[in-house]
Amino acid sequence: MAICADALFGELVGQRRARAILERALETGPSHAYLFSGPPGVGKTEAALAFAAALCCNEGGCGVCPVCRRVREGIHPDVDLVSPEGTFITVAQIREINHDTSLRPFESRSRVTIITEAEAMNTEAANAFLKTLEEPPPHAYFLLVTSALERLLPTIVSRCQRVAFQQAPAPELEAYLRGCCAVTDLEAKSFARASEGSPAYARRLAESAPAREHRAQLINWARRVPEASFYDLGVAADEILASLEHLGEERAAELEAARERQRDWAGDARTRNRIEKLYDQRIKRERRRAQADGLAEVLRVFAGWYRDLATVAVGAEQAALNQDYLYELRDGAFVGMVPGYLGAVDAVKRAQERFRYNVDAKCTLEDMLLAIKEALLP
Amino acid sequence: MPVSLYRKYRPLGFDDVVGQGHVTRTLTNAIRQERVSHAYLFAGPRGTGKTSTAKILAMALNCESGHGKATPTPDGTCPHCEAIRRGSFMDVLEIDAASNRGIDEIRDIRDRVQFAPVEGRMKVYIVDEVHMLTTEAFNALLKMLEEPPPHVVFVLATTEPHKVLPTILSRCQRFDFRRPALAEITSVLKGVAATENIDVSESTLSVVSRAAAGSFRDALGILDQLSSYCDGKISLQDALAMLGVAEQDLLFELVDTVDGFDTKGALLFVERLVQSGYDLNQFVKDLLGHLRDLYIVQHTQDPPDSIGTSDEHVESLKSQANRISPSRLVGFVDLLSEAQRAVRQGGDPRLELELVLIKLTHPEADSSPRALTARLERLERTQPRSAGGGNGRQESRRPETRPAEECRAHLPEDGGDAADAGGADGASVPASPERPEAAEETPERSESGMAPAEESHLTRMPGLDHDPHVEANLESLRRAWPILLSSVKKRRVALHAILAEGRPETLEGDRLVIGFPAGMAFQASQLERPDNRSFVVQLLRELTGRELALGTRVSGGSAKEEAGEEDARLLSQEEILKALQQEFDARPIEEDQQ
Repeated sequence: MAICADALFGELVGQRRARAILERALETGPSHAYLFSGPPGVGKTEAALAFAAALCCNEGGCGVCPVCRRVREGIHPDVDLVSPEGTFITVAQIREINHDTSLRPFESRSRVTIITEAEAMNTEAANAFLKTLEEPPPHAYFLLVTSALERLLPTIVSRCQRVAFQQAPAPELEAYLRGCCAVTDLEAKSFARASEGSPAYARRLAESAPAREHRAQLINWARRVPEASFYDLGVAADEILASLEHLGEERAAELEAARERQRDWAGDARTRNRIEKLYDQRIKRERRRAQADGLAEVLRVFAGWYRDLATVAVGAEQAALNQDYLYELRDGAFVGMVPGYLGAVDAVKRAQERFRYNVDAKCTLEDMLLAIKEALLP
Repeated sequence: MPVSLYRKYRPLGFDDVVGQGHVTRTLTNAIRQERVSHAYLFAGPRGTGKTSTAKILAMALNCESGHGKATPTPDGTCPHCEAIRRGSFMDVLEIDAASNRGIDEIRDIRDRVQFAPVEGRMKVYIVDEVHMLTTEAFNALLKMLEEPPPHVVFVLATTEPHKVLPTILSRCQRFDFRRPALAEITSVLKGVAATENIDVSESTLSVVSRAAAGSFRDALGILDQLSSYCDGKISLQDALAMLGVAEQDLLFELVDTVDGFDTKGALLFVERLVQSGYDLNQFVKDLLGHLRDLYIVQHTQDPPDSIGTSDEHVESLKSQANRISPSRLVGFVDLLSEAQRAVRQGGDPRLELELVLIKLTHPEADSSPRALTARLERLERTQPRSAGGGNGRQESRRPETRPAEECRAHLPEDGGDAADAGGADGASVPASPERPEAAEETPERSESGMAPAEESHLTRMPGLDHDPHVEANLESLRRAWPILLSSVKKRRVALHAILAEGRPETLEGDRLVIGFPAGMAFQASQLERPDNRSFVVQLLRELTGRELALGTRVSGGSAKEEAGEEDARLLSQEEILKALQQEFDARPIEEDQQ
């Protein structure tokens, strides 16, 4: 069996340990359940797909054959990708997995189930999964992916081998950015820092001008909050929300195009209907997810800014995330205001919590901005 | 595919079940005396052997070596035992209650319970994850569980016995599986490592058993992964690296940094941690363990064996435990646990850890009483050094922030308490302007949660009375304006909102005129109300030591200086009508049209 690790895991940036674990597992014989955990955007799902490819590939993981290619594109019949339908992964989805697992693979040597956002399994679903996860048939493998390990049931974690991913170290991320995008050294450095170790986000900053502008805009707002009038804050909240709308639309349009293509191929009316319905759901989900992601980014930038102010105020400049704004940070940071900065971060955290409970976005955002202003008043 | 170690090394007899002597002994005796109960409940944390014991019990009841009787020592090799292990024995039904949790599934069992066993002596129903059954299903189970046919044994297994109905509990013999001790896990690991030809040292195994947190399955899973990661020869470094367990030195270093109130150092420490790929959640867990070791060492003369991995380690623990004060230690643990909870609810691990460290090393940033203690402690520590008069930095930035201000903001109940608290150590507590840290202070935030305390300051304001710091000239009044605002805010939020719009404009003799921007006539008039006025005047007196009269001016309008003129600002009816017509395009309605 030939395993070509570079072809499989070459895209992983700064995950030496995780890569070593996976490669060794492929060489010595993989276990039946793995848990890929780590911060968002570091390449866990991609790694899971690559690993699944190796499990299905007749060569043991060449990374280039049609089997490998199809698995990594997510269109191989023996690799199931399960993600939350709505907020949760439901017990119905898990029952389906339990049933499908007992079937033999269609064409390759294994049947792999990849569960992304595994922490979204609700209690019923997680418990219903335990038996299958512990003793599946010999051809079955489970790859669970999560960015919130703490929220999984301990009984689930205990049945899997853990593959811990980490924030990509800044130097490796810089090298990666210099390699794949046209960036100056300075840009590479600042994007690597601003992305908090996420190659996906760093690359987006490096490649897309709108993404950079968006970030600059957010930082600008974060800087202006203390002086802004109530009216300005209301406007800021509106504008932030408007920019998120736009995010959702972009992805929806992509899916819409895909739907058009599929519809052309579909032969009969029944298939067409099914496709319509499927895409309606998917577009709705994608739109919601895009907005949730966008919102998370907004809050991250805000929290990061006030955190940086505190960091620079106490003299730990090297630890600042927004290295490209060091001048502004030095200018604005003042050690006596550290309690205020922490108050501002708290305000952002409160907002994050409210979004989790589905409180109205506009109210929450306005409240957050007001609370930040209040915290930063002299 | 090689089978996971934790599946391969399931115990095969009661003797193989490690650390659950109280369970296995009772069961073997019951079998020997032929008094096997018809319903058992096995409860306990993950990976302690519940399902395995249930299977062994099923084998004991059905093993061919018993010759028609139950045997406490099933051979594990006869066809029956083999089949039970594989899960293909017709009379042993392993039911996953989590995916078959409804009443229909239970009814299904009930209908089939009546039939005599096909192959073996006894029918054994192993109902795993029983806590997930619905209430209806539980209730449907009750009758069956109380008086099953003589050939049936139920074994319910769960990690969460508190979710099982009391009526179920009372019908079962309950066995609580306990978390195995470290040594027990280590011995099992050692046995498996020997059989599997894994080359691993004792100390590495103890690290693995620690990481397993009382679960055999976790322990074997980790060993499995390590042996495949290291190809048969496991070194301590590899184990630490793969588990992401922090080295002891790092833990000691961070605690020292925090103890030294070094905010910068602490933040750079986290930065280093992240860059070298530590999992911060795991680090916080390790840190909590370390802190626990510290306070145990602090409170026991002779620390138990479970603390510390080596004599050297114990010595370092002792010396660090002597350096750090118990209250700081408890504060650290408190904040860290809060952060852990926040992370579990979706917070960013790095941000949460950093917030904890800033709050601990920069106690001004924390408004809880705990932080006050920390600040007192820091003052006590710096006292000897600052006695020589280190007030150089005091006026350097932000002249308006003054130590009196910050001290007051943190007084619990009233001034007296703080004096008591500080008196314990003989250090003078109400900060004097010579304190070097004072330069870092800032007026407290409004949400310090000390509303009741605030009221008492109104009448006394100990700090302000005694050192009239603000000169009664326009320049210093302007600079002191934020202080005035923040002390107003603590007592009268509404007045603060009014005052925040204005600023001192002129000072002529003893009369201070507060200017408001155009369109703020309402604020000006509110400030002119006698109660507000006298409040501000009193504040100014405390601030400057002088009796100042107060006036207001709205820019674009004339100065309103006496409260008596307030009425003049009311518009006449014609003016109102005119304004309405202009603003809203209103038209007068003739009454006779109706």
